[in-house]
Amino acid sequence: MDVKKYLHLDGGLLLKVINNIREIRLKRGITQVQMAQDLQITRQTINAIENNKYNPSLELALKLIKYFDLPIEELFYLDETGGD
Amino acid sequence: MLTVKKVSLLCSIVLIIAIGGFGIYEWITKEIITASTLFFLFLGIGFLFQSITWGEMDGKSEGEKDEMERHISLLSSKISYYVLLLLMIIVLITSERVTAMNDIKNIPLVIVIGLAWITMPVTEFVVSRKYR
Repeated sequence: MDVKKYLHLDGGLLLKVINNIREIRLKRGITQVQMAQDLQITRQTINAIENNKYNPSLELALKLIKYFDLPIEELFYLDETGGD
Repeated sequence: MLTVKKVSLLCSIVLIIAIGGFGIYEWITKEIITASTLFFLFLGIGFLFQSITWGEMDGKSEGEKDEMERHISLLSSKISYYVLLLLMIIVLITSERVTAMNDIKNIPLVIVIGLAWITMPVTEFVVSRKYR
């Protein structure tokens, strides 16, 4: 585990947020363009979220929960293994 | 949207080539670079990067941006601040060519660097008040 990668500046552990949005979206046959239009965000934002490069705000996370009609733990979870 | 991006890119490149070419011509023939040439060249470079990133020469207004785009702007602002601070210090050192601080003659630039140095902590202080 790359300790530096997961450490906050104050020394606390930073756990990465992982999501299953791509898998759920593909299972339902929704395109990134369609989803972007429905949620009024850009396709690039969806792509960044799906690739775990950007964590959505609480507002967008709640919108995603409503959009897929799934509980939060099925969409997002903390990577407590630290990526190992 | 794609057309706007293409036109913006084309205009920016034309501007850079025209001003850059004129600057090189002036440099070769008169051995001078005017402030207006530099200004419009930097303007062109700014337009080019805005076009590449946002698809428009004048960028995207905050209202048009979605949350990740706002995050990009916010992160870029902070990085830009430090880069600009560093560039100003480099300009000061290279233009003055002195090692001792008290030998610096360009006091206005020192004041600007000092003001830039305190801008962030002062702004952070003011913004932090809102959350207390």
